[in-house]
Parts: sequence; C-alpha cells; structure tokens
Amino acid sequence: MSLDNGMILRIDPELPTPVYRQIVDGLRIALVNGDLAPDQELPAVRRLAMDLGVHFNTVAQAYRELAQEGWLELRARSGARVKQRAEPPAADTRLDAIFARRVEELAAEAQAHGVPAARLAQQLRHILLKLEGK
Amino acid sequence: MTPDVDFRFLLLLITLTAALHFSPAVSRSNLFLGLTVDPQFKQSDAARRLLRAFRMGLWGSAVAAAILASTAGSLGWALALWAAGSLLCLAVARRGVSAHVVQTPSVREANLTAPAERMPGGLWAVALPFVALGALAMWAWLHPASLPQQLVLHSTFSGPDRFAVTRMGTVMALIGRAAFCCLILTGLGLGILHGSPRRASSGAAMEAERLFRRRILILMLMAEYFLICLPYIQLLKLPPIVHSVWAGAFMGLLGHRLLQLLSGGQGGERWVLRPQSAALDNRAADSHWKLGLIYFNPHDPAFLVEKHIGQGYTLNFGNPWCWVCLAAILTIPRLLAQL
Repeated sequence: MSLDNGMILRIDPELPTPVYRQIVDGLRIALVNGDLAPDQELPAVRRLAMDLGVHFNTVAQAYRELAQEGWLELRARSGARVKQRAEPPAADTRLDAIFARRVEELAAEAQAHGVPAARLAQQLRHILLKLEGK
Repeated sequence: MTPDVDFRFLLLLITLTAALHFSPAVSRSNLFLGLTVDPQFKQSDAARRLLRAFRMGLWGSAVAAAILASTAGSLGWALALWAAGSLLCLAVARRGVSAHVVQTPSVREANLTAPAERMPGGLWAVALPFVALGALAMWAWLHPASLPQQLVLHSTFSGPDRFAVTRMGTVMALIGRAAFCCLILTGLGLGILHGSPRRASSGAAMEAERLFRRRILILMLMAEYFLICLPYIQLLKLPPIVHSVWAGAFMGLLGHRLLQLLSGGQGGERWVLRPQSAALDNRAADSHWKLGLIYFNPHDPAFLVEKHIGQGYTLNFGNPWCWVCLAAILTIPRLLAQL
C-alpha cells in the first residue's frame, strides 16, 4: 500500500493467501491507518475487479466482509463508501488469545523465512507507533 | 479489373502494411512485436535488425500481393497472400525476440482514490445521435412525399454506384444502419471506459493514460456525429456539395485525431515528459496472446484490453460477452438489409 498519487491497492494472485483476503487486508490497513477517510468513495466492484484482473465476486466478497466489520457502507450500483466507524468494544479474553496466537504464528513464520527477530520487533513497533499517532 | 478497383486495393494494401510497419513504434516501451521485453532492448542493435527484417518482409508481401492482384486479378487471393506473408514475417521476428523476453510480475495494483472517468459530454452527448436519428425517422414517416426517388446504397471515389428505389423499408434500413454504427461506437466507448483495465495506477503515466482514453472517446463520439449526417444528407436531398464538404471534414478531422493519438503512443506513454511505462502484470502475459494479436484470458473479467502490438484496444476472446457482441455485429446488419 502506498500514497503515491493516491491510495494504491496491491495484490499478488500467486501468493498462497486468497485474493479476496489480500483485498480485505490491504483495505483494512488503509482504513485503520486513516489513509482512507470517512465518506471517501471507493471504486465500484466492477471497476476494482477490472483493474486487479479478478472476478467481480472476489471484490464483492471483500467489500461485504469490510461492511460487516463496520468499515464500509455498500451503495447501490456496487459502490462503497468509507463509514465513520464506532469504536469497537474492548476485546474479550477469547479474542485476545486469538490475536496473540496469530502474532506468534507470524513471528514463527518470519523466523522460518530468515527474518531476524529484531527486524520483526522493529516493524511491529513502527506499526504500533503509526497507529497510536494517527 | 477496373482501374477504380485497382486503386482502392492498392490503397488498402499500403494502409494495412503501413499500419503494421509503424505498430512496433507506437506500442508501449516494454512491448516489442507483442512480446514483453526490457524497455532498453528496443533501442538495441539486435532489436533494430529484427525490426528491419520484419518491415522488409512486410513490404515484400505487399509487393507480391500487388503483383498477384494485377496479373491474376484475384483480390481475395492477393489479400490472403499478403496476410499470410505478414503473419509469417511476424512469427519469424517474434522468434528472434523470444530470447530477450522478460517475465511479467505477478503483483497487480489498482488506484483506490483515482477520480471516476466519464463519457465526454455525459449522457446527452451519447444520446443525441440516437435522438437525432429518431427524429429523422419520424419526419420520414410523416412526410413520405418529400423523400428522394432513390437512395444511394454504395459510393466509390468517383461517386455513387448503387441505388435503390425509395420505400419506407429502405429508408428505415438506412437510418437503422447509422443507428447500429452509433450503437457499436457507443458500446466500444463504454467498453473502454468501464470494461478495460487501467495499466498505470499512479503518476504521470496514469494521467497520460486517462488523457489517451478521453481522446479515443472523443474520436468515437465525433465519428458518431459525422455518421448521422449521412442519412440527413440523403433524405433531406441536400446538394452534392454538402456531401463533399462532409467527406472532406470527416477525413480531415479523423486524420488529425488519429495522428494526435499515434503521436502519444499506446496509453499516451509519449505524452509523459520522462518516458514512464505502465507496469505490465501477469494478466497481460505473452502466453495469453496468440501471435501478439489475439487476447484470450478467461480469468480476466476485462471485455477490452490494450493491444500488445500497435495502439488501441482489442477484445478479450476469453470473455463470453465478446462472442455475443461479435455475433450481434455480424447478424444485425444482415437483418437490416432484409428490410
């Protein structure tokens, strides 16, 4: 994701992660960081699918998932708009455990691929600082 | 073979050969004869040698076709000879380029905040030709006595050569043909606008591509407005000078617009001050192209895609809607001819 002349969404269909998940993740990062502001119009499903070279349903599924999370408001003619999202309630212990597990899995995967622990910690710190400073 | 046919055939042959001759020059900088290469390769001696051989082969095919047409008198066979010769030259040249092909990356990108693109002039500009033709049909229906005795069905450089006695059916077929041509142009315009992927997603390359698309759409709208003049000229019995002015203005404006587009290269790449090629991703991979000319990718939702050779757009034959449209384009004129 970059801010070079607009918000660019990147996907890689050759990665093992499903394309719709990559779209959801990419959009969610932009939404959490505030790069996509409330009331911002997102491209229509067909437009985004055309530009990414994926099926319309893949983009529609990603938009629906983000709408369920409260980030987007789906509009007639397959468009979407960023919503002013209410602060979610504090995560309970079950959710805490799920995310702790996912961070652990990510750290293990990074180590397995030769990413040094210090580099990973630096990345996490950078992300947290960015989130706190938005 | 009449001199008239000879001249038209030669003109067609020269136009087609010249289009293929210049097509590598107007392709994107990372495409060479329909294959993805490093932009630096196009400037190399190896590329120049391959291009020279390709162009010599093309003109050789054209000369052979012209000789066959003038000696045997078979224009169909001459055209087939030209097409076969040109395709052979292309295949041989592409074989030479294949050693320099680079892989297209798998990463794809889209701009989420780019402003939406619309038809120049909006809905009114698109609807007006159809409204004008509808009004003409209504007028013809209400004033049959004011219609000319016969209608021109076909014209050559030396003037009209085929006529039909005016009946309401032929009048409606004349207007229907113009409406159908406008419909095809509108469909292509909408296809470019909403049914084709954007290659560049940021920077000057994206701006140039938007301008290029807008100019193509203006060209199509302009062609529609010129097309609807033809039934008006005929049915309102306007003097022949109007037809001559129409033809001159049409050719002049069309030529000017085409040259303007050609000067920009594919996607307006050359309008960017510092040449900046749009990233080609693996959906435009060479494997989806047959001889660099025909695009077939059932996994790409695009209806129209940028050509790999030359300039403009071509159909994605992997999209079933493309076949539906082709069938409609081939059958509807035949149905109109029955009127």
